[in-house]
Amino acid sequence: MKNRLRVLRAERGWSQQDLAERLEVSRQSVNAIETGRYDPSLPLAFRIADLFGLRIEDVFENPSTAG
Amino acid sequence: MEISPASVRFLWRFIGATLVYGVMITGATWLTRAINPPPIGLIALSILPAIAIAASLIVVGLYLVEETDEYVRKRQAVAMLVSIGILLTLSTALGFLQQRSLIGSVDLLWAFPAWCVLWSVTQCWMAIRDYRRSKDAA
Repeated sequence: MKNRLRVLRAERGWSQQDLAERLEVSRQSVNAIETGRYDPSLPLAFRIADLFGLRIEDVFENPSTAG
Repeated sequence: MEISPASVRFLWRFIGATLVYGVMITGATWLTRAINPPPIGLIALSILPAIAIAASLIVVGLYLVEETDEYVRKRQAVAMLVSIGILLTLSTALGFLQQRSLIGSVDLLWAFPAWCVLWSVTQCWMAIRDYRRSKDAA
């Protein structure tokens, strides 16, 4: 699933490790989500969206409506 | 690579269960030779080390329950399933080879150590694959 995680993280000047610590997951998890290799569960997706102060659909692209 | 608290707990528990396994095998072998037990005792001594293997598998299950990083947990579960699949395929192939008298007997007690090795190899393979994919994606 495509997402804006890398851009949002870069805007805040956070490394993958910084984001991982804020989300309490491993850096590998952040890397896997950023590169689209892993789709997070709904609770983790909410945590990510909350951390950036956005809605889930502002972070993750809805696959059913993606062009 | 970071190691989660659940992984650390798993490692210590697994090392403990493996040490108990070693003690049980050594003890059961020594007792079998030393006291020449009756058949029922021999059965009990033969099965005893398997209790430690059951404990090891419970430790593996506990790890999956306790691991809070869902991505790491999913990767471990996939690695376990892949290694179980390889082990079952290999053991089935060996079984057919034995049935046709193409090979001698293979000791079944190697199944668990073989699974542990396959699980580790699968994790290494997944780590290399993911590293290459993340490099390509960067």
